[in-house]
Amino acid sequence: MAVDKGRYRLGLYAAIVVSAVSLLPMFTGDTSSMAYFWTLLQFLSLVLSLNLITGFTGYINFGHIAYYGYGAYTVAYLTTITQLNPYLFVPAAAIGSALIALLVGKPLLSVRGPYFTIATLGLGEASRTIIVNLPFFNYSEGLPIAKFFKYDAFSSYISMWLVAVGLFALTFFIKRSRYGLMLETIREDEDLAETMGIDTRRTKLAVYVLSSSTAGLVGGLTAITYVYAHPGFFSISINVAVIASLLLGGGGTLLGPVVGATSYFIIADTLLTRFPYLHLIIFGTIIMGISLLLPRGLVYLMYKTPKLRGLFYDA
Amino acid sequence: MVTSADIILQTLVNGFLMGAVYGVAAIGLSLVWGVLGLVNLSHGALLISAAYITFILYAGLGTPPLISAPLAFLIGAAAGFFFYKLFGRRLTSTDPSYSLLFFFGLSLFLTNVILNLLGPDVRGIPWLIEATALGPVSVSLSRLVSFGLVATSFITLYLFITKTYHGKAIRAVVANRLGAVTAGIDVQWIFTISTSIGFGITFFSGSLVALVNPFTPTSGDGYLMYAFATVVLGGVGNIVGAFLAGILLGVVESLVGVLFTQGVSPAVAFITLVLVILFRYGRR
Repeated sequence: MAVDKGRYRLGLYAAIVVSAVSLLPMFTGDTSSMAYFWTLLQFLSLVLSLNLITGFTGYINFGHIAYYGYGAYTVAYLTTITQLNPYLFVPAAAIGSALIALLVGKPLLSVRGPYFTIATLGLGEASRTIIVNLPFFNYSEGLPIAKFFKYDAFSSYISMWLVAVGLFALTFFIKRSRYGLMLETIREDEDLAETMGIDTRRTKLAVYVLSSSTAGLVGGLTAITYVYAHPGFFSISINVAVIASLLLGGGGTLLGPVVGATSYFIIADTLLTRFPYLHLIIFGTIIMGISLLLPRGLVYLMYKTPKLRGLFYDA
Repeated sequence: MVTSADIILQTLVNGFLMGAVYGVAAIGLSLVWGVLGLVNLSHGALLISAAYITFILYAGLGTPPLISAPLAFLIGAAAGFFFYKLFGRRLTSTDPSYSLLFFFGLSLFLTNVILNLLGPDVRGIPWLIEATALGPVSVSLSRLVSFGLVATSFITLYLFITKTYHGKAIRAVVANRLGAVTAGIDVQWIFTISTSIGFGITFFSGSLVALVNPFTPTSGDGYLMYAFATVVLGGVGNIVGAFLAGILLGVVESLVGVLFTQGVSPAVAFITLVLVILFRYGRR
């Protein structure tokens, strides 16, 4: 096990260095780079939270963004009616999303494969349409919360950083735990998992609730940073971008979401600034190319070079 | 004086005519999904591409949609053929999530090519838009023409699927791929013609959509959603089911639009979709 420990330590050092570096933009005081890295961290957190369900169990979730939206609306709505500091309601965003996930997840997870995907697609779109038609959520204008607190870029950066690091650690522990193995068994063969005595229903529901509540957490923090919750939070294109970057990196791995989210974010951003009109055409082509040429994600490239793989503990 | 019964009747007729178009639009998705097992996320983008082809033909050359719809079928069929030859084997052999990603990329690509070439404006084809009175209801001629095209194409497709060898082979592959191989069916060839017909019928319905509704480069997403709902409601790979489900969805949508507000009618479609999936495919 000595070798194992060495690999584990190297990975830990790498993780600490990367997370420390990601704190740096905060001290530069440059708001534009802070905004850039905040968006990257936010995107990374969404990818990590989606990884819990889609990466580990293979259930492709197009309704993930709905929980992000619920979180945003929970924080904005509670802030509007109580007029307190919105950070107080961030836990409520996670709890609210978890409760909805608990209610919705039970029937939703009884279907598999493409049916699950399409049902979740319907869930996300239906949520948006319903929110837009609710009077106490101010219809399609959303809820601005800027007047209830003083926006502070540092606390918004730190809280998003904490969420991203926390999710990374959570993924690490799930991956090493017996629970993670149960989830991976469900991904590989759900009938087999059931035969082996895994309570697939409870296992899936637990991970769905966990993944959705962390999405709610990210949504709540995003609403604070944008000082606004609006129906755009339910945008299906964010959800698809999150799925695309998870698949780009490699689902069900620890490094996959980080590699995928970072490279997706940088590619998308560079293309957007270089080719403001053509960027989505180029981007579509890149996505098609990746799905045909790298059908297991970027991280699996590492597995082709065993020496590199040996350096890190269980990517 | 218009009575409310008249309004309901009018709504039912409108819903029926729209629903028939939804039904045919979903057949392409249903066929590719049922036969190849690929969920075509770019279905909406393909549909809108065909709508733009019809629009260009109408605005540029004055071709009536009655001619460009069959033309769109041929273009789509050719596109489907080459699509399968280029990507088909690769896509059917990889993990389903990566084929989803591929189709998402394709949809992004097509939508933005149209957006860059033709701009984001709302387009429509002002062809035969004058209304005709049919007893108590009045319907625009273009919707009647599109219904005629829908009915013809559906009957043709139905006869193809039930009477010819290739049609029966397609249904055999939908029912059991391994069994079809054992019975001596050339599955690769069936995959090719299914993609070809699927894309063809999608393009065909795209030109009908152009005829009955205004459209923008991004309106494909809405049609994709409806097509999903329709396919799942009708049963994957089931052409008759898709057609009937499309009609049902169109009627429900327009009734909800009249009885409540137009804004919630998409939500009704999605909720129907979710409920149908849960009751049909859920395991208790």
